[in-house]
Amino acid sequence: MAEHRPQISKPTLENLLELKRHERPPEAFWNAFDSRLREKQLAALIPVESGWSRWYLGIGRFAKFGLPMAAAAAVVVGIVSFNRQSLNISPSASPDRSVENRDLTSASASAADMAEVADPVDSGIRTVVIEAAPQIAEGPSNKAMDAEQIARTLPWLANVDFKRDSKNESGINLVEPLNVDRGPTALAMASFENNKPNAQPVWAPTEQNLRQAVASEIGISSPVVDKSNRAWMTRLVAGNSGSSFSDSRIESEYPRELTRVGLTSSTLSIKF
Amino acid sequence: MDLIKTFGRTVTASPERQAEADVDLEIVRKVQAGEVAAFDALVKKYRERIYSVVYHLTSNRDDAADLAQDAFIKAFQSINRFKGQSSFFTWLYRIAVNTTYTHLRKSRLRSFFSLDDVKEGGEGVEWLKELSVEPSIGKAAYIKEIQEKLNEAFQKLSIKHRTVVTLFEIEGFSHTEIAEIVGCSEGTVRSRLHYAKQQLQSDLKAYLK
Repeated sequence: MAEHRPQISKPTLENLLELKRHERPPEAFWNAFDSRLREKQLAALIPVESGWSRWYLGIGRFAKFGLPMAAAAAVVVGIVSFNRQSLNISPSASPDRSVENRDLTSASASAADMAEVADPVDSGIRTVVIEAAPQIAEGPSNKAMDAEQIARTLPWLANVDFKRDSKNESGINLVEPLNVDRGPTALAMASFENNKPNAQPVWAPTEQNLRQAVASEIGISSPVVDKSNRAWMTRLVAGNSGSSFSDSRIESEYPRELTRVGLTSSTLSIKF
Repeated sequence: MDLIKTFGRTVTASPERQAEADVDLEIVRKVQAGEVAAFDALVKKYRERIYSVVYHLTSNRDDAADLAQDAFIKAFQSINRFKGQSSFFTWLYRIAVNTTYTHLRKSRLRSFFSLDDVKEGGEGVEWLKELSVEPSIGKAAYIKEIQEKLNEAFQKLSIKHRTVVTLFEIEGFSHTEIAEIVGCSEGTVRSRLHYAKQQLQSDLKAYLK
C-alpha cells in the first residue's frame, strides 16, 4: 500500500515517534482506571492468609475441637470392644431371663449382626447373613444365650409353630436331629417335644458354639450341603416367614431350595 | 551521607526533576506515616505517565491499564521500603517496567494490539499538516496505518530495546535516568538506543524518508 501511494513527503523516524507520543486514551478511560485502582488498593489493604498460615490455623482448630472428639471416640470404641469381649462367656449361666441376661441380649444383638442382603451376582437370590462380631480373645464363652438371642441369631426360628406341625412327617424329621442335648433350636425343641411352652432347653448355646452347631446340623462341613439338609433348612426358613408350615407352602412360596450354605470364620450365609 | 545522596541526585536529575522529586518525597513521607490518602496525589500525578510507558511497551491498552494499576499497588504496598535514595518517580517507573517485563515474559506468545487513538487526529503534530497523501485513502486512514506499522516495529524490538526507546524518545528521560530505571550503565542505554533506532529505521523504511 505504501509503495502505491503518491506521497509528496515522507516522515522521518522522529516524526513517527512524535506521532506515537500523541497516542492517548480518552478522558473517560481514566474514570474506569481510577475506580479499578481503588478496588485493587482496597483489596491490597486486606491481609491475605498464606497457605501455611491456613494450615497452622487448621491444626489449631483441630487441636481445639478435633482432639477432644477423637479422644471421646477412642473411649467409646474401647468400651464397645470391652463389651464384645465380655459376651464370650461360658455356658454355665442360668437359663432364666435375668436382668443381666437381658442386658447381654441387647449387647449380643449388636455383636451378632444379622441382615438380609441382595446377592450382588444374582439379585433373584436372597441371602441371609449371620455375622458374628470379631473375637478379640480366643477361648470358650461362658454365658448362655436366651431364646431371644437364639431367635435373633437364627431369625427363621422366631415364629416357628412347631405344635401345629407336630404330626407332620417333616416335623418329626425335623425333631430328630435336634432332639439331642445340643443344637441351635434346643429351646424351641424342648417346647415342641414336651408340649410345654416354658420348657427349658437342655443345652444353652452360646453365640460361638451356636454357629458351630448350626454349621454341623445343616451339614456344612463342606461349603455345599446335600439335598436333604437343603430341604430341612428350607423348611426352617419357611417357618420363619408365616403361621403355617407345610410342604405345600414350601413348594408354593419357596420354590427354590437352598442352593448354597457358606460358613467362614465369622459369617454364615445361606442362599435360597 | 545526606550530602552525598543529594549530590548524587543533583548530578542525575535536572532541577525541575529534582524539585519534583522533593515534592514527591514529602508526600511519600506522609504515606509512610500512615496518611494513606496522600498516595492518591501520587497516583493522580503519575498515572498517565506510568500508563504511557507500559502502553508503549505492550501496545495493548487493556494490559497497560492493568499493569499500571498493579505497579501503583506494588508501590503502595512497599512504600515503607522506599528510603528516598532515588527519586520516587524513578522508583515508581522501575516498578512499572519490572511489572511489565514479568507480564511480557509470561505472555510473549499471545500478544496482540489494542491501540489508543492519536490525540485529536494528530492536530498538534506539525509534520502531519505538511503531509499529503492520496485523496482516496485520506489522512486519518494513513495515520492509522502508519501507527499500526510503528507499533508492529516496536513489538519486534526486544523488551530492553523497546524500553530504552520508550523512555528516551517518548517519555523524554535522560540517559542517566534511564540507566537508573533500567538498572544498567549509561553506555548500555546509548548502545541499546542506537541499535533500536536502527532496527526501527530498517523495519519502517517503506514509510520513511
